[in-house]
Amino acid sequence: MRRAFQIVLVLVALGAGAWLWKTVFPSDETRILGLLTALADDATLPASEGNIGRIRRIERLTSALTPDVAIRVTPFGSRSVEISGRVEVMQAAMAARGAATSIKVEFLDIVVNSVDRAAGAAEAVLTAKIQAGTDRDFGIQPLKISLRKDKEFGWRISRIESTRILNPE
Amino acid sequence: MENIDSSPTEPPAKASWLRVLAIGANPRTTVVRALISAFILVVLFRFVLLPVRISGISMQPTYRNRTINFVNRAAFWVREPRRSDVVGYAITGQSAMLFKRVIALPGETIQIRDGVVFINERELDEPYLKYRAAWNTKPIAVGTNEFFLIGDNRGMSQGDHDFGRGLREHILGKALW
Repeated sequence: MRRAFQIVLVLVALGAGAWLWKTVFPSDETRILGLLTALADDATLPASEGNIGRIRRIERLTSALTPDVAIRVTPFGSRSVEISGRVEVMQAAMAARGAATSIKVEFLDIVVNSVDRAAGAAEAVLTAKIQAGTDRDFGIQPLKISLRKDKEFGWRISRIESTRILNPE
Repeated sequence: MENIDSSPTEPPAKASWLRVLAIGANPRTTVVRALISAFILVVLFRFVLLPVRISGISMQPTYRNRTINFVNRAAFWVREPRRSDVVGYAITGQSAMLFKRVIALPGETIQIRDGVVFINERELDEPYLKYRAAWNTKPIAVGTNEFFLIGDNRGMSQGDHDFGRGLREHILGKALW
C-alpha cells in the first residue's frame, strides 16, 4: 500500500513538472494558439463596452499584427475585402465598431500546420465564426493565417486570407 | 454452551422516497451507473453522433434554418458515401461543418446546365429538389479521393451557394435524418 502510494506520488509529481515546464516554456505552437485565441477575443465587440475599452481592444488587436500585414478576405457571396498595413486595419476596426452594436468572433478548430523555426515563419488554418448583434444566425469563414517571428515581439500575424471550403471548378 | 442473544433486532431504517429518487437506494451503485452513463454519452456524442445546429438556407426545403440534427460518423465506417447521401463536411475541424448532399462520386464528370445536373452526360433524377434556378457550370471531373457536394436549395443565386469538389477525409458522416 505504501509502495503504491509512493508510485502515485511520483507520477503526480512528474505530471505537475511536465505541466509547469509547458507553462513556463511554451512551444511555438502553443504560443501561436494563444495569440490567435486572444485575437478572436480582441476582435469581439461586447455590446456593453465603453469607448476606452474599445480603443484598448483595437490596440491589442493591432499589436498582434506585423506593420505590413496583408488581409484579403472574400466572405462567401460577397465582394472581397483587402486591407494593407496596421494603420488601415485600425481604421477598419474603428469603422466596424462604429457601425455594429456588438460582434462576437470565435476562432474554431485552429490547426497550426507548419512552424519553420529557422525561418521564423508559421502557418495556421482556422474557422472564424462571426455573429453580429443579437442575431442567432452566424457566418462561417475558413481562414489561412501566416505568421512571422522576430526577437523583439515574438510571433505576429503577417497575412490573413480566406480560403474556399469546396472547389467549384 | 451456545450463547444466544434473544433481544429482538431492529429492522433497518427505510430510506425516504426523496432520497431514493435523488440518489437511489444504493448511492454507490448510483455513482457507478452515472459515471458509466456519462462515459457512454461523451463517447457517443463526441465520436459517433455529432450534434449540429443548421444555420443557413442552402439545404432548404430538406433542412430548415436553425433546426437540430446529428451527423452519424459510424455510417461511413463500413461503406463509402453514396449519391444523394446528406453529409457533414468538416471545414478545419468538427466544430463547424457544411451540411451538403453528395451528387457525384469519385471518377465521375458532373455538369450543371440550366439547373439540371448531368453525371457523365446522363441527367440526374433529383426528387428532393423543389427550387431550381438556371445554374450553369463547365464539365467538372471529380478526383479519385473526392466527392461533389451541393445543397438542395438551387433556387438561390449560384454565387451565394457553396458547392463543389470536396475531399473524402473531410466528410465526417451522414445526416441522421
